[in-house]
Amino acid sequence: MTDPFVALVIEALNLMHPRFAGSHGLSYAPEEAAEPPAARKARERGFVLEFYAEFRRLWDRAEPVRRGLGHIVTQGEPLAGSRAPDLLFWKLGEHGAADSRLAAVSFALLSNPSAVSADLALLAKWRDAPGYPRCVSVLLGKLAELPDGGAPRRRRDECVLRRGEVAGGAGGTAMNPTEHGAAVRTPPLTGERPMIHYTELPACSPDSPIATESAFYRREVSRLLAEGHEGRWVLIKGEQVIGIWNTRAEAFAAVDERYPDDHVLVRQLLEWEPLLHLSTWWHRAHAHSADSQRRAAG
Amino acid sequence: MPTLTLPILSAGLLVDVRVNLRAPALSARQTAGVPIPASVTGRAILDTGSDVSGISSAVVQQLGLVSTTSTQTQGVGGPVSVDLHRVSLTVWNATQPHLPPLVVPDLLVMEMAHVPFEALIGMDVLLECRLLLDGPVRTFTLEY
Repeated sequence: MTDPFVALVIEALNLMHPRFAGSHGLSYAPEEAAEPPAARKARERGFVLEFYAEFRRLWDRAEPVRRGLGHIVTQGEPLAGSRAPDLLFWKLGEHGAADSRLAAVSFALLSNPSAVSADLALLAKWRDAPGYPRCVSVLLGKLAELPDGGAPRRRRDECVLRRGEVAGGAGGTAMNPTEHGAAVRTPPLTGERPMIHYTELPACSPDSPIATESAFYRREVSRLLAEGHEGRWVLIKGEQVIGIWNTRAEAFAAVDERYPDDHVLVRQLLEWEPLLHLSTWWHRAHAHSADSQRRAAG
Repeated sequence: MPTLTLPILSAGLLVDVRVNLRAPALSARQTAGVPIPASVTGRAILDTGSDVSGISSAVVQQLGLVSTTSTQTQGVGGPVSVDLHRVSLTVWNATQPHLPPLVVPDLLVMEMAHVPFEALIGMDVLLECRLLLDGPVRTFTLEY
């Protein structure tokens, strides 16, 4: 299971608007590469600001608390020098306890390879002293810029986000395969059908008899995944989780027993959901019905 | 292994079907002494381009089906949510009713409006069978 802090980072990355993220330029000219790494962490700044804005929205929604991370803030490090990772997260102490270090996050463009290496070295150092239990390096760039063998890593257990891989789990934020170079969601490379991230699940039609349940599921899926229910089956009636089971058969048995004639929603809790291929007959009918609705409305 | 061999028609690969409530619901009604609805009979088209089987809106209304789950597909404007119902589906040959049918007791199906058939059999069912297409002879065989 993905670490809850890493999951939050991924969610904030997923919410970022590529235009804002790329507003300060997303590549370094070759001549700039000669400058010292610390001096070259400039073009990442717009990305970091946009990331922080989205991350802040998540904690305004109490997501860190809901995921068991407690109340968190960004603040400086009193025990270290000026060269620091881009964002330092602390957990606020409760009931008289002292604040504690939670995570250090750095951002670097792949076109700034010296800065990438410097960040990784810095994170490795800061994990040991002053002691940040989670150190995350976010690399920005295009897939083509990834060196052979993937993103650079300092040690086996360091948290480096890269294509199809998140420290401690599969799937997640990746390098952008497009020309614009901001971080985007990329599904795990399964070689199977196309996938969709749970944050992109489409809204149900308002005419659907399970519109309430579907809207509730879209709101709650993040929390249920964070609680470790990935792969299990949830039964929702109205705006209530009736239960969660390990198999679909168990969830359907509960439906048969408790709601045999009611509209309910049974869903498998997945971070990445398959986008099914449906018959062209269905697509034709769907287009026809959408067209009729537009005509009726207009 | 039971087989159905049928002609390939200009409309496609068509089979006879019966659709009813899912088997657990039928059993529960039987136990409770509640009348069981009559199966809806009709034609189904085999569609290897669909991951999910479907039934027509008329069948959904006739059986009074409830939505149990949903999935999503890629529509023209992006991902689209699709409600699914649970039914029992029987594939048989109306001209040879003595042959053993293919029975799927609890199948998730999508609703399809404006279609000229009662059901569509997708890969979710076909992957449990062997489908042999004899193009030159214009027949297909379903083994299950």
